[in-house]
Amino acid sequence: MFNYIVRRLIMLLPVLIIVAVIAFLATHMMPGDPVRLILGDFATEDQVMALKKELGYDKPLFIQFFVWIGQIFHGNVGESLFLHQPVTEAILSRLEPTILLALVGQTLGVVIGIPLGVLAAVRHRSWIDQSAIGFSLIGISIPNFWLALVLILVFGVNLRWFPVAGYRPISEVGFGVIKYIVLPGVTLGFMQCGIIARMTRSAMLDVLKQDYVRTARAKGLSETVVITKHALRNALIPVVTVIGFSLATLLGGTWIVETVFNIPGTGALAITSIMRRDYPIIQGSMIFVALIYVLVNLLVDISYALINPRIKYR
Amino acid sequence: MSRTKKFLTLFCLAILVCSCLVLIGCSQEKPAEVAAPVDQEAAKFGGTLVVAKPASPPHLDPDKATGPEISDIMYHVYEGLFEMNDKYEPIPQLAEGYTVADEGKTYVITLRQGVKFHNGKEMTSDDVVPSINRWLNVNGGGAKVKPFIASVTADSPYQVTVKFTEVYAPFLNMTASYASNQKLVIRPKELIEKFGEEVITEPIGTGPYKFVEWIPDQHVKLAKFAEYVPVTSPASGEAGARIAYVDEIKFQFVTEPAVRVAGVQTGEYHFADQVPTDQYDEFAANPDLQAIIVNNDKNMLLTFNMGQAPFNNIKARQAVSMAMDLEELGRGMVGNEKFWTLEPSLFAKGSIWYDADAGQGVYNVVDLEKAKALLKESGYDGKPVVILQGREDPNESPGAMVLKSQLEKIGMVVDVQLYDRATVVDLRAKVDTWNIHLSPFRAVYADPQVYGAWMGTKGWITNWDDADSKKMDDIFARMIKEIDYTKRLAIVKEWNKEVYTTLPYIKTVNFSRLHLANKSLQGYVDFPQSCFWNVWLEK
Repeated sequence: MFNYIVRRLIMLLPVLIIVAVIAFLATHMMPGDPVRLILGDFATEDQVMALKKELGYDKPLFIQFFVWIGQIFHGNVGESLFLHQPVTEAILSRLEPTILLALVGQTLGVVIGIPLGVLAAVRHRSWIDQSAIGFSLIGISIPNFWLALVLILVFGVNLRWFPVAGYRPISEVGFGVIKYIVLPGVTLGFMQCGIIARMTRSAMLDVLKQDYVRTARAKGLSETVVITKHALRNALIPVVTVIGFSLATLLGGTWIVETVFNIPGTGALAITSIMRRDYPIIQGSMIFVALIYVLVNLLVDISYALINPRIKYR
Repeated sequence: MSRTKKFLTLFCLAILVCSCLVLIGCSQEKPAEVAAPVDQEAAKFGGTLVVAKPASPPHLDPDKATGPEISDIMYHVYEGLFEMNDKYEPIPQLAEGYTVADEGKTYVITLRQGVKFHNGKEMTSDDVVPSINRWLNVNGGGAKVKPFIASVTADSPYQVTVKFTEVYAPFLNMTASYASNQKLVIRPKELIEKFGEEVITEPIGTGPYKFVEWIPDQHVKLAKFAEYVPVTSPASGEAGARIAYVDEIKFQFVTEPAVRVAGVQTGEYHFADQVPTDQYDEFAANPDLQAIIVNNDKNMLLTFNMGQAPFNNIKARQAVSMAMDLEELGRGMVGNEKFWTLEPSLFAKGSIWYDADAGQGVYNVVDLEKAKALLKESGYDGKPVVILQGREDPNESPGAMVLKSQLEKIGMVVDVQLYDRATVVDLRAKVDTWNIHLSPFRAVYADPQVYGAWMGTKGWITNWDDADSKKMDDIFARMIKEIDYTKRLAIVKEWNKEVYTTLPYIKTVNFSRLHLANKSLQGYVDFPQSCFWNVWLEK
């Protein structure tokens, strides 16, 4: 297992290099000029050319690329054109709310989604099953931004239980951060519930038909033991895969929720940077997201071995 | 599953969905009451004012960019030698007064004494001269003035002389212009020496509020400057007395309009900059809210790319003018008629540059048959005319769609291309990627020539270069040298007439944005740039 983990971590490097190349080409080839956005609508051509020269954007693309790669190997991913702070600092400073949102959303999704999926599978074709299907369909289908606005209206404006938007860090408010995370966390969790419930139900239905489940029942084991110890554990592999994928997505930043709730997370940073063509941040964000996906996938693969002892990595 | 159970399941789901829709549709039905103007004698000190702004600034140096997201905040920290009053005239603010000599080529400016910077130092000519020089070298407005400058000198600690090589009429107006962050603001000389022409990251000014903190994309905090000494003249526009009633101002960046509105409704924000105009009636009916329509706010200019066919031909431009029903355009582009008006003058009523006779016989004169004939005469070949607009702007994209339908009636093939702002700005700078662009300008300016577009035809995106552009350049050249207001107004009127004759751009409608304030905010006075001195919070 240790060798496997080391090999996977070593493979991280070529993946990040490929992502870096794609990130650079994608950002520089899309239309839009950050220099004109910085200077404003009435900038003269002289001002535009002067700033391009200052930023190095007057040089050929391949020279810009090698300069950037050279900086990366010195640990410098670049500096934001708009925030005037290093890219790593800009991303790291926004990680706290993104991680909190991801954890809350995913926890809600798992804590509600898995039991709901199990219940639906066990009570297959009953009204419980149909309700669970309906609920998960709603969770997957409802647009994030609509649900966010409804929650703001109900719980922020009408009931005044939570602030309508904004975020204050843990260092400032301690556990008070919870009130800023609840509504966006529920928004994210609702969709995660739907996805996880459906996947759990589908996996459980497959497993419940298996011979070893019939054997377990025939041996006189209680239904609870049959479901939780024999069926669920075998059904978890595809569920864990989905959880891993969605966790990686959440950690990469959910820009819709962050934008609506005005939470300064990595998703909002990425989207804002794309809108204003902040090349260093866009490139840095793409590499960051790739890193997250690779690491989360590694954790998911490790968890397979923990859930199913038959799976061994060498 | 039985049919009954299926029905019950679907029924429950339907109830859930309907309940959500009802909750969204619910609004507070309360009697309409508009907040009456409040006497400043009732003002209270204290509290933190929270303002929700739609966009985050890229930095805090108004000299280094033209976006209002910087100056909306930082003009509470910085002050100008001159500031605009509510008639859009430059009034001494950090200056005590001035004299003009040498037939308009010399300005002798006397400075106020005892004005303190936020670092405790007194402002003198040692600070004003480097501030003017930085403004000339770095600021977009100052850069337009620089070619005309002969010298800037300190005569004494409280007097500065600015000499020009030739008469430059817009000078004082330009120093007070808030448009595109053109204002000449005064900073300590040590700060200017430290940062030179780079972005200043330690804002120190003389304003009623001093800079405290900036968290990029989150907020900017300002705190009351205890040693601020206001001028004694009454407040008017951005000129006159500035009293810091609130202890702190927090500019919170909230991009989603619905969230800005929700925040004002709950009191988390006291003021929301730019909210949806289609909710005006709902806001006006709510006694806890103040719906503020910004008067003399913006106008939309239809700009032609005259660097290529078909609009390098005046007949094609005239055809467009005659095809445009501006009332239909106003309804489609802006909506509620409380928020737009027809106005042919390039500068709105209330400005000293208003021209009551502008556009006669041309503005909003619709004649589709004549338009078709003119288009044919222009030699239009049926190639698609590209209208290039921003997707996110609430006025540009619907305006483009209305324009498309109007131009198609006269036989034009129209291709509306909507992009994000970065792409629009990039494509607009090229000659061969667009034909028409709707561009918002301000309805009122400090001076007819604050923009490069109106100092010379090369200063805007029109790619205009023919005999008519040379004639227009001649008008601009005379306008810039005329310091007598009456004579200069006559040239402005000549310019308006020439615009309606040659149609490099077509004035469409004047329109307003909508701000929203909580009832706890008192003393706010409408002005195109939001100012939060002289306001206070009622508990």
